[in-house]
Amino acid sequence: MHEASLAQSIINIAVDEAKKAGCEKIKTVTIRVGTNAGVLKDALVFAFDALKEDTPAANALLQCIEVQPEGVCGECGEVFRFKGYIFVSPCCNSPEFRITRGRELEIVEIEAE
Amino acid sequence: MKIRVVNRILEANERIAEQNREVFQRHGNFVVNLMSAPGAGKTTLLLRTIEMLKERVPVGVIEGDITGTTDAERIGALGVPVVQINTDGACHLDANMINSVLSELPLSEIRLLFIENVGNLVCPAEFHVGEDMKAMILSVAEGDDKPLKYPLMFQESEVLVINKIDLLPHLDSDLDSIRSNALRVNPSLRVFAVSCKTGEGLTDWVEYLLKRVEDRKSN
Repeated sequence: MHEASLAQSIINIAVDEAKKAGCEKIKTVTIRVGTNAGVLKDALVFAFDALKEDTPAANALLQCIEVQPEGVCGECGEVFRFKGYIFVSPCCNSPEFRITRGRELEIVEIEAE
Repeated sequence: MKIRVVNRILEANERIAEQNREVFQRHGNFVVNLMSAPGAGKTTLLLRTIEMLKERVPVGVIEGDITGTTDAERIGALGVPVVQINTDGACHLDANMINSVLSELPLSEIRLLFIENVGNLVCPAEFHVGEDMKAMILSVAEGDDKPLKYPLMFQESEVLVINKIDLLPHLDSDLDSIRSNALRVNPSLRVFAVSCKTGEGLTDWVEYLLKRVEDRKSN
């Protein structure tokens, strides 16, 4: 996807939240990234480190929590885990399924002082 | 100190998309976000579609391209309001780009608004712009494996228009496998097979669009 613009959004959100809490320096930013979100973690960290200079996040560490994908079968209701892209549920081989996890892209915690 | 936040990183785009949606609803616009790889026939499908339905419903167009105004000029020649967005390198339209041109269109005179996205089979599917319907085009020359290799756009779309079916006799790809691969990725996809060159299949697509506009009006 667009790791540099995502990294910029992460920095903007983190700086805003830190300011709101009356903090000046951000130590860590923790994000949840689904493995099916289309984001390359290494590219995101690289862009974050390049863009954080001269901001309150200049010394911040970006921590990524990976979220493995999960789905629910529309036929039998079974919750299943999977890897990569799937087009049918593994239990019933049914195209009627819903992906419930794995496409997250969100900030969960900022540590600042 | 630790600050707990749950903030979707794409939220800024979602928020502006929601604002766009409110503007469209207020003006009674039904908005179609048209996406495809470069060269699949977005502009030609738009031209044919507008020719067929512009006497039945007032149309407007937002044209997205990396650079240039050739598409907007082609559409403008049909006498419908059109505004061109140049993304200056960006590979998709986002909600903010759409928001920034809304004042340039006579929205209260438009019922059906097409947004022609930047030619790209990946990124446009990631960004909502406030549309009612995502429609995508795949031309038969692109190959019948594309739904399996680029699933997101097929999953996000309500409609798949398979274009250039007049070329099928010259190609190895076949309509049935394009269709079945697309439905494997998204079983609820509405599929239309058309040729913008010969006009085959276009009536079904146009009638479907008109029906969606009507349904919207009566809601």
